[in-house]
Parts: sequence; C-alpha cells; structure tokens
Amino acid sequence: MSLPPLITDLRQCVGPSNVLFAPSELAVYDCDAFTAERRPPVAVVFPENAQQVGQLMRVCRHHGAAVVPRGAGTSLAGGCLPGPNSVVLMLTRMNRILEIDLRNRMAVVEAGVPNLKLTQALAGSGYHFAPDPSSQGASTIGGNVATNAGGPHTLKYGVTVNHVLGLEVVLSDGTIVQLGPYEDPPGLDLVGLLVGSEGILGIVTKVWVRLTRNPQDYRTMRAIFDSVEQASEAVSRIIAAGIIPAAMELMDQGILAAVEEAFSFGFPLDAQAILIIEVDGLAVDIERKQQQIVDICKQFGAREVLTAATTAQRELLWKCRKLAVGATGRLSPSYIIEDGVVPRTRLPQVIRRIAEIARSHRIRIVNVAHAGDGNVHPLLLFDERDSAETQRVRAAGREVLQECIAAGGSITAEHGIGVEKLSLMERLFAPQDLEAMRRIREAFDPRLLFNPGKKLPQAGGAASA
Amino acid sequence: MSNGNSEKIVAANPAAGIGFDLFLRCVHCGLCTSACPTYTELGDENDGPRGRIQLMRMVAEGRTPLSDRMRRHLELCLDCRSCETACPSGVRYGRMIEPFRQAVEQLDARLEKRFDWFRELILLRLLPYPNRLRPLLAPIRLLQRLGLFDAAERVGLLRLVPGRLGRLVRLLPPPVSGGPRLPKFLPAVGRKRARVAFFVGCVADVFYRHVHWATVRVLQQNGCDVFVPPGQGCCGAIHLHNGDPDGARLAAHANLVAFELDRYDAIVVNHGGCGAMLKEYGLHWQDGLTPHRAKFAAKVKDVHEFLDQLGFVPPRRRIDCVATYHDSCHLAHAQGVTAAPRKMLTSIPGLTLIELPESGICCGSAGTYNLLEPGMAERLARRKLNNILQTGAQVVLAANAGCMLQIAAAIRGQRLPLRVMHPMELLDLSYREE
Amino acid sequence: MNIGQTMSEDPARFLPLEATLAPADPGEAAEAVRAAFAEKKAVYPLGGGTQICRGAWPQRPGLGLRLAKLSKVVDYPADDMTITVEAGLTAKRLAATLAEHHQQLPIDVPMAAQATIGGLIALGHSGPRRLAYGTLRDYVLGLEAIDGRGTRFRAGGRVVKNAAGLNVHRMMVGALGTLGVITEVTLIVRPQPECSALLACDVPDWQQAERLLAAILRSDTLPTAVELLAGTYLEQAPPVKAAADTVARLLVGFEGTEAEVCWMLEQLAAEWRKEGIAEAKSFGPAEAVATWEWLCALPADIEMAVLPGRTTAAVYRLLQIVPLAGVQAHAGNGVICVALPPQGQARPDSAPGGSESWSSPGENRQGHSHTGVAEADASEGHGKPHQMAHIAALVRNKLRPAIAELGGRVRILRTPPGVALTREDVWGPLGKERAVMDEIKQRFDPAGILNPGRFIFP
Repeated sequence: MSLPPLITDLRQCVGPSNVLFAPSELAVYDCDAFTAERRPPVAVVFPENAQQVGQLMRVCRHHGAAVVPRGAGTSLAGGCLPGPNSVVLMLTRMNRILEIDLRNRMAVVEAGVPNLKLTQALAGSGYHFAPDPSSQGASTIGGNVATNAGGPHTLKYGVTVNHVLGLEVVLSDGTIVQLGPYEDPPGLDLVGLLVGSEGILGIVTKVWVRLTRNPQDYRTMRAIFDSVEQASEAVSRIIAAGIIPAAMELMDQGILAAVEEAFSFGFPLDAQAILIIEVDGLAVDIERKQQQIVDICKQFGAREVLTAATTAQRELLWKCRKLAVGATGRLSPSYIIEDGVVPRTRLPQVIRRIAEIARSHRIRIVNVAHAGDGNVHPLLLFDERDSAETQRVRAAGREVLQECIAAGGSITAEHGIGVEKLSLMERLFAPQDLEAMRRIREAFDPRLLFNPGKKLPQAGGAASA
Repeated sequence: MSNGNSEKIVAANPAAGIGFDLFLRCVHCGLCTSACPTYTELGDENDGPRGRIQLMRMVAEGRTPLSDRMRRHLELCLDCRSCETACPSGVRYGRMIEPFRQAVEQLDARLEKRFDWFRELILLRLLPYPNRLRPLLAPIRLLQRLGLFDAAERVGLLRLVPGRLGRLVRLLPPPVSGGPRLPKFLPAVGRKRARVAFFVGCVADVFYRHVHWATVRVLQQNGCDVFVPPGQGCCGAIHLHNGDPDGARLAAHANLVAFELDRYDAIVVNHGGCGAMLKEYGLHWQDGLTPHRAKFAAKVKDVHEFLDQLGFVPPRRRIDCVATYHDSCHLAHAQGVTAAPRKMLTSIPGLTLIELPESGICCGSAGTYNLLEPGMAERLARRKLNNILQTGAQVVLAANAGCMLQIAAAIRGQRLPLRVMHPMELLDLSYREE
Repeated sequence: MNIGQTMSEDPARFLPLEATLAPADPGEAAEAVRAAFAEKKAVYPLGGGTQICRGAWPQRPGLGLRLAKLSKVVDYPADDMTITVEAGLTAKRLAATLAEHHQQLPIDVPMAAQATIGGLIALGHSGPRRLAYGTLRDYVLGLEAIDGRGTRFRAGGRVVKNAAGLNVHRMMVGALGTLGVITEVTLIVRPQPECSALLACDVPDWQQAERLLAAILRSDTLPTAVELLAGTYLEQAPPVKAAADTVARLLVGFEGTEAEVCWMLEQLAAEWRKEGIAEAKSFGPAEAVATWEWLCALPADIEMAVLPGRTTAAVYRLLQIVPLAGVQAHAGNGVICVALPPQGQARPDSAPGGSESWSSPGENRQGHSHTGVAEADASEGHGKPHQMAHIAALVRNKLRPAIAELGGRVRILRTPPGVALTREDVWGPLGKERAVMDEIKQRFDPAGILNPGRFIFP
C-alpha cells in the first residue's frame, strides 16, 4: 500500500511513529474545547525540536498543506480546529523546562510545557510565572503565548505579553529565528506581535518568560452580595480608592450552584453574586488594605465578607473559581462560553443585558467575570442534542458580544478569536483596521498556510459563522 | 450498565455497557490531559483521557468499529483515574474504561481469539491466591536468601526468564521476615476507642506482611480492637481489571461472607488498590446482593483516612530522616485520600517530609499494568524515580503494594541508597517507645 | 491647513524639511500623507522635538508633519483606569490631567513639557521605573495612525484586556513612526503612589556591586527602580559620603503607601548591612522628588542592553573601553545608558552639558535644573564630523563586539546634526528576522515615505 506523498514526506521528517494518519486516530483531533465545529486533519505530527518543525514547515509548504499548531487543545474558541487539508502540528513533545535563571528573573521553556508545570518547578524559589489562566493545569505556555492568555491575576500583573522576554519562532519558510531575550531588541517588536497571534504568523517553539516575585503576603476575601450591580459597584469603588487588588472575581448565582455541588465550599445558594477579592503585597500594610476593601464591600451592600483564614481555604476558594467553568458540566450537557470585555464601569449594565438576552432566547446563562478587568464569561447552557436550542444559544452568544462592542469593549479578552468569533471581527474593526492586520499576516506567511480560517476574516468579508 | 439485553449488544459493541449520560458529562475542556501519565509521556491525545473518551464514544455511537490502533490506545490506559481528580465536570472515567475493557476481553474470549496463558494462569489463577503464590515463591526466596538472586540479577541472568513472567520475577522485593500470619484478634492498647476489622488481601500479605503487622500495631496504639476475620481473600481487583468480572464477583462474595459488618465500626485497609476496589463493591455487579455489597463498601476505610477521622494519637519517638510521599493512584484519585497520610507523617518528630513533584502521576505499576505494558511502565518508573531523586529524600513512602514493588524495583535497577516504606511502617517505629 | 514657519529655536530645522504642516485634526494629517504618497515625498512626523537626534539623519527632503495641534484629551474614564488622548498632547499636560484623579502614567519622561505622547510611543521610551512598572509598550492599549498611503487605521482597543486582532499597536511602539503617523492613543493608567523614597549606597568594587544587585532579587522589599551610577555620573550623583574607594553608587527607589515605603527603606538598609554596607543614605519623600527628576533626566548617547545578571560585567567592560563615560544602568533590567565624553578630553572640566561636550539641540544636559527649556544649541561646535566618526568607530569596533560577547546589544541614542552615521551604526545589526520586518514595512509604507532613513529602514 503506498502512502500519500505528503504523509511519506512528513514521516521522513520525524519518523513513522511520530505521524498519525489513521482516520480513527485523527478523529480525536477534530476539535479542541470548542466543540460546535469539527473537522479531522489529514495528519498529526509530533516534532521534538525546532529543526524538525522547520523541516515539517518546508514539507507542508511544498505540498500546500495548512499547518495548525496545537498544544493542550484547551482553546474555547476553536483555535486548533483543523481547516481543509490541514496538518496538526503537536508541540506536546517539546515539553522541557530548559532553564530556570533566577538571577535574571527568567525561565526558558519549550512551547509544550504546561503552565502549571512551570509554576510547580518554581515552588520554593520565591518566584512564579504570573499568567494564570483557568486552564493552567493543562494549557501550555506556547498556547498561552498564542492567545495572550490572561487569568484572574491579570488585574495587577498583566497578561502573557507582559511576561514574555523572547521567543524562538519557526517562520513559514522553515527559518528559525530567535527574538530577544534582552529588553527592547532592535527593530520592530515582533515578540509583541507574535504574542496573541493565534498561530497565524509563525510557530513558537521556545519561550523566555519573565518570572514574578511571590507576594510577601496576601489576603483572600469572599464577599456575598444580593445583586450583581452592588458587587460591580463595589469593584469600581475599590479601584477608585487607589487599590489595585491582585484579583477581583465575580460569580453569579447560577454558577454558584454548580460550584457548590462540585466543591462544597459552603456558598449560600441564595446569594445573587459573590466576589473573590485578593489583595497582595508587603505584609506591613496589608491589613489596612484588606480593611479598606471590606469596608467598601459592606458600604455597597455586601451581606458578609469572609477572609480565608488558612492557605488551604484560600486554595479551595481559588479552585472553586478556576474550575467553575468546567463544573457547569454538572448543570447541563453542553455550554458555550463567551469572553466579552467592556470598560469596567459598564459591567453591571452588560450583565443586566445578558439576563435580558437569556430571557428573550429562552435559554439559561450563568456568569463568571474577572470583574476588575471588565471581562465577563457568560456560559450559555444547552443540550447539544436539541438543535433548536443550539441555534438559540449561538444567536444569543452573538448578541451578548455585540452588546460588549456597543459598550466600547471587545469580543474577546483572553480566549482569542479562533473560528468562533471570526464573523464578529468585522463588527469590531473597520475594513482598514483589518487590512493592517492582514498585511502583517501576509508579511509573515504569504501563502497563508498558518492556521487558516482563524483570527482574521478573509478579505472581502468572506467570513462565515 | 443495568442493560436488560446487554449480552447481545456487548457482543456487537464493547461500549454498549457504558451509560451514554456518562459521555455527555464530558464537556471536552481538556483539563484532564496533563494529569494523565500516558499523555504526559507521549503527548498524543489518543493516549489521554479526553481522546480515549472520544474513542469509546465513537464506538458507542457506532461511528467506527474498534480498530487495533484504537484498542492499543485504550489498553495503554493505566486506569489510575488521575483524570477524575483533574476533571471539573465530575466525569467518571473509570466507569467508562473499566466496562469497556471488560467487554473487549469478553469479546476476545468468546471469539476464542487467543489463549493468554499469562493472564489465565498467572494473573487470574496465581497472584490472587496467597496459598498458591507463597510455595511457588519458595525457590526464588531461597536464591534471594543465599544472595544468588541478586547476583543473577546483576549479571542479567534474570533477563533469561521470558517476557511478562520475567518482569514479574524482577519485581520481587528482597525477602523480609514478614512475621507470622496475623492472629484473629489484637486488643487495643490503652483506652478502647473503636472496633475494626482488618483487610489482609492477597499479594500484599505475601510480600508485605510486615506492613500488615505495622498497621495493626498502629491501630492498637490508637485504641482499636483489631479483628482479622478468617476466610477473607483477594478483593477481586486483579480479576476485574483483567476481564474476569465473574471471578471478581466470587472474590467479593467470599469477603462478604467473611466480614460480619455489624460487629465493626469500620473495615480498615492499608493498600490503596484494595481499598479502592472494596469501596466500589456496590457498583460493579447488579444482582440480589448489590445492596449488601453497597453496605460493605460504605464500611471500608483507608487506614490513614480512618485514623485521621478518629483523631490519631501523636507518635512520640523521634525519627530523623528526610522522606517524600508518593500518592498511590488508587488512594489519591480513586479514594480522594491525600491529606491524611501527609498529616500523620508530618506528626512524626524529626521527620522532614519533602513534597514529591508530580506526586499524583502514576509510577507505572497500576495493578498488573507493569506486567502487561512494560514499555510505558518503565518510562513512568523512570519519571517517578527522577522526581524522587529531586527531593533528596532518604525514604520514599507509598501506601500501596503495587507502587512499593514498582518503585523499589526501579531503585534496585539503579542501585540507589533509597528505602521504600509504607507510611504505617514509619509510624509504627515512631509509636514504639524506647 | 497651516503652513508653519520654521522657528529659529526649532530642533526640526536640522531635518531636510521643504515645508512644515500643522494639521488641525487627524483627517487633515491623513490628507497630507496621502498627498505626499502621491508625490513619493518623505514625511517627517514632529512631536516636541526633544529626541530629534534619535536615529540616523535623513537625506530625503520632505514634509514636516507637526502634531502639536492634535492635543485633545479624547476620553478619560478615570474609574476604568484608561485614557484616550491625541498624539500631540505633552507628557506634562497628560500628567496634570491624570493627577486630578490621583492617577499617573508610570513612565519616566525627561522634558515632559515638550515631549509628546505620540513621540514617546514612536521612541518606545522608558526610564528607571521600568523595573516595577514595565515599559511604555505595556501601557498602550490601542492607537490610531495614518499609514504610508494616507489611510487611517486603528489597532487594539480601549479595554484593558483584549485578544481580538493582532497587536499592531505594540509593534508600532518603538518603530520611530516608520509604519504610521500616530494620531491618537489609549493608555492604561495607574493610581499615584502615596509616597516615594530612595536608598543609596556606595559600592567599593565590582564584585560587591554584583553581590548587591543579586541580593536585591532576594530582598523582601519590592524596589520600583534599581539604578547603578558609575563613571563620571558617580561624581554627580547625590552623595552618600566622601569616599575615594568607590566604583559605583546604587540608588534603589521605592513607592507605595507611607508605611510600606518606610518599612522598605529600613529593611533594605538592614539587608545591606548584612552584605557589608555600613553606610546607606535614604532620601525621604521630601528629597526623593528632586532625585527622581535627576535620575529621569540624565542624558545618554548610547544604550546597551544585556540580561540583568550581566549588568556589572557590561559596565565594567564599558569603563575599560571608555573610562570617562557617564553610566546610568537600570540594573534590574540590564539596560545601561551611557553618556560619552568629548573626544580627546582627558577629563571633563565641568559636568557634561558644558560647552565642550557635544549635545543635541533641544535637549538639556544639566541634571538638576530640569526646566524643560531648550538651551543648548547644536550649531555651536557640536557634532563635528570627526568626533562622530570616532563614536561610530568606538561603537562598531569596540563596544558592540564587547557587549555582543555578553549576549547583549548596543544602540546609539543621539546622532548630532549633520553627522552621517549609517542606520546600522545607530541601531546595530539584525538577524534573520530582518526579512519579516522589511516585508511589514513594505506593506505599511510601500513608497517608503515615513521617516525615511532614520530607523532600520531606508
């Protein structure tokens, strides 16, 4: 039996055991954590170093096959959905932490290292890698770079791009370039451009990340409110008081039920909203900041404010928040999670509108939000076996994001555009803005072989939902 | 699972025994992947929980027959259930892979695909029965006592013992005088606080009887009357995980008869694998005895869990050493017991407990997995050993016979000055007054 | 439209300008670029002129596009901690606007009264506080610009987290206006700290310097800036004590609440004592302001960047090659700013800024008297070609190889008028990534009219 030429060439690059092409094995790669669209790739390859990635790029280019880089496949926007005639390039075998260099506050990792593995490797060093997306247990640092991942602690510490010092990148012609790692490398800031580019410009194989000092002390609080408005108002007032907490997370009543079932933390189920607020920094003044926050919460109607007394309590509180999204599997068989972001002060208004949208589409929506960033994650619940409900959910999701655009915000804060939000790009950006981005894409990838059909709609508005 | 006409469908479709609602609980988020030992090693989603669920689901939906390649990915699963700990949606992965694999094994048997002598004779007929295993080990034990076994291992003679049997022989720990068979009753020391029945098991009693003795002494020191009911035997896990649910049912039945539930506050077990199986007695078979088995399961407690809940007496004797604790999959992931052993160990004066990196990643033992999938088992053992070495510990603690055997074999392979112990052994030492 | 006349004190007079235009709004500016594109005429965007000497001097005659009239605050939702302003707004006015809400843009700006936001972004300017706050790039959420065809486009947005679209705005920070004329920007802002202070000590030798810098990384304090001053700047730096055996002075800045700052001052002094530093001088809130200003306004001719752990090695190498350099290292970041002595001068008879040194127009080389008024005049004996040839040779033949050995890079921050340094002299060599940069440039500015010849592009 003779193999297709593409497969033969791919096998030559990485060895036969590192190329999958049996239909039953490809099926597993037909989607990521966004399951509404599926398409199997023509092959899956497992390179072990940047040189192999370069060779694979040349083979794919020669055969005109598209390349879809994939890490842990936790994208909620379909960032790893294969396009037609696509080869999935797995970075999971490039998973070594190459260097931890505390003198330079830096770690060098291969792209496939899971975010949490780095943090675990840093245990006891007094440093950590600040971006902490809720998927951090699984998602890779390469994937974090591709989506410019955030997380609850971005309010104070910033997103992934603020913590990347340098990249090793394989370009579309197979060339390997190193950018950085020292500050302000000469020429254009390609590092800043590649972070958040969702794999359409190049394949990141190695990352130099900035490490952040662990805070000397922290206080984690849980405040219970009788309305989402009160909770959001408290968030705004805390910021206005000149305090930048490490995180301010909001969960509404709907999601509390799921979290409570999963982790039995003891949230009152009649609470309309809870805030998880963490303030960190020097021990010397932390009590005062904590008290200020407690006072503001109470002033804006918090029924009670509890401070985690032990590390275990704090960890459980964060576990509840970080696994909240997954826990909704207990509420309904399927969900779509949106990633809207608005100026912080517009959050109450948007959450109110989300409730109206849910009512008008006769679906259930529950919310978690990085309230300090104005970033809301509405979870639209449905049963994928009910096609009418599925339709309603997708329409409602679109409406929610349009609401965010209207409020001066954006359609994604940290999940990326992927395929899921592609059709909304033309609502968010003017044609000339998209044109500027397309120019950059063409400069990197003239044949448009990198992750096609993602991130940027085709010129001429050919994007389809 | 409780499917009326399951016979016929199972014959056609190995996934038919899995309730479809179990598949629907998985929202495909992928958070399980990095918890999975085989995915961590291989990086292929076909070898990770999310992918395996999808493979089984494709078979269940009739979208594809079970191909050989798919089958390999499913066989490579350690059933360590680390993914269940990681899953935020509460997917019961074990309840999918276990019936699926049983159905595949049954299908093979029915189709008389092959007679697997190792599975039939060694795994199902020898290992679960201490009375058969012990005499067979005698010649090997003699070699070991004469120091010849070690020499044979060193010069590679043992490699001559073929295949899986050879691997089994190489796993054997050096002989320790395990002491006599446990008596039927051991009284509490001091104020009496509980009546417990002790579960002895099969392989554990052959290789680790000294751990049993240590465990009962710790229980006694904590005011427990310890009963060791005669007539008990293997928990049935070896049968169940090697495609013999009926053999497992018989083993369970023997235990059901042996333990008079109302006489004890708890059935205490000291090895994670046995404990996990006993705690699932209520789930595996549907018949008239199901409620009785469920009641049995509800009484089962891991010894650390039990003592922590009882409120253990702090041990007093100082043991100056640096130790690290490995989470046995069946204790940590299947039973959710992770804090209690650490809490007890750190109560030992002088002991420094260093947290083991990737403690919850399987060591590769996984019941009889290391005998059946040696390649992956060895990779995982190496990974485990590297993590252990990073801690600088002198003693590795694990509360499961399989893990102890596996880690000890890896250490012997590299001739490292490291000891493998059960936490109860160390606690027993610390409870002994000088 | 207004054709502005060239004023005598205007630093832009050193550019080959045929005319200068000061558009009243972005539409007018875009129209001007469109017209220039049609004629393939160069366009030189002009801000406050404070860094007019950055880059190589251009040869192509063209149009000066003065953005001073685009100086509106477009939107300032203080509770959202963002602000949208036009590019011609000066840093001083921006700071004053933010101060009304006790907020700040935590970027240190010399000559803030002239420097414009658009100019700062084009330069990618950042000062000592980059250690705690990051660089200007980290504060640009979005911007509006005019590309080389005269098309206005937006990049990024106005919210603090945004993963839609490519980070075009980030790439334009530090691109010296070669991809587009920036007309409007949205910035993240931060609360003003309650209080600030500095702690200084003298360092007897380089081993000790490295020990102290490494120790700061393990310190319980959280410095806002770690500045290492050496060479001729040692004499000018705020004194600690009269000591002859000093190779460098370390100034560590703190910001926070009053209690935090006081605690950190004492804590670091205690940590230093353990490292053998008997005498440390603290600059409390009152004295700190002047010291910060002095630190932020120190002139520099060259900037070197290495990994932070190689800062002392790089400074040591530099002083071997140029013993009379003035050195200000942002030591926590490995960014080293260097003022070069005039050629042939054995020892400066006065502080840099005296008539002997070469200086750029519009730039004040005197540290403490930071009035922001351009006083120095480039026409008076500065930037003699032979002198610059010396600097180019120094950088090319000595400094760049030495710093490259340490894994770093060197760029020239100021080229005196009339001196023809090549672009590579100024910016340093680029690797294979250069090809992608050229492709990008070609697509944003196909006629090559935006600030030609100054940045890495022709």
